[in-house]
Amino acid sequence: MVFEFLDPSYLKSKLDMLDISLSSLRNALMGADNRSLTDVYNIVNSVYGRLDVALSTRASEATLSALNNKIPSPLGIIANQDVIGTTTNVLAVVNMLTPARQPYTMQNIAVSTTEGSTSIAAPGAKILVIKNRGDTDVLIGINGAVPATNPLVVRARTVKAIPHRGVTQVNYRVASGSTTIDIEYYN
Amino acid sequence: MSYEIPLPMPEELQRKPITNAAELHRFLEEQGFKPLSVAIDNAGAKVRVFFERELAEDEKKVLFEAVLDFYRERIGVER
Repeated sequence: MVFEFLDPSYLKSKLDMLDISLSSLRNALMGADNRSLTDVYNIVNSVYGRLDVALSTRASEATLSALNNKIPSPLGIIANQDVIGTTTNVLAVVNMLTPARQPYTMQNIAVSTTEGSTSIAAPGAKILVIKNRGDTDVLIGINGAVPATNPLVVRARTVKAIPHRGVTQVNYRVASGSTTIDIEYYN
Repeated sequence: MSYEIPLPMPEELQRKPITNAAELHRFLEEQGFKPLSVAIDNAGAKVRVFFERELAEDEKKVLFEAVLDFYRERIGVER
């Protein structure tokens, strides 16, 4: 028979490395509420079960109904407009370039080599139409003087339509000679 | 409806054209008018003011005086 055993001093050195008891470790893991891992699992599972349901079961219909129409739309709402045969509410994006006022025409404005200028009442033209009635190209400045280089040109006997956020002044001149223009505006 | 107001001393406009019609437009609005448009013809030495409606005779006189007041001030001439 052979006996095999650990050296008691070696065993003691290893046992000395356990600085807390197993029961103390268990108590530390269970915390002050004395919860087991099963308890923790059940609590987490219960919270998940409460999240995985329809929103209407979390807030009453009365609560949700109270929120209705309380949140303003940044796009604006057109109410009670007839859309394809039905009366309903629609969300609308208002195109600020769409003219909404009476358009006007100023005819036979003389254009010479000396720069001239025509104003347009606020909020200014959203669509500006310049008709060159003569045989000389017209150089154009929008809301300011005619640029010294590369200005907009309305060629002889042509019409140019310019969409713009708001033209409140049109300046014009010719390089030589003279012509007349018509200015139409839509705002 | 437009009204044409001749400007005196056309040589002044040739020398120093008024290229900011919006300024005259604002001035006329301050005087109580609501012009659609104001066109300054520096070469022809005249101003055309466009309105939606026809002005009464007394309004026309006030308009003409207002335009001339603006012009005088711009070229630095006393009334």
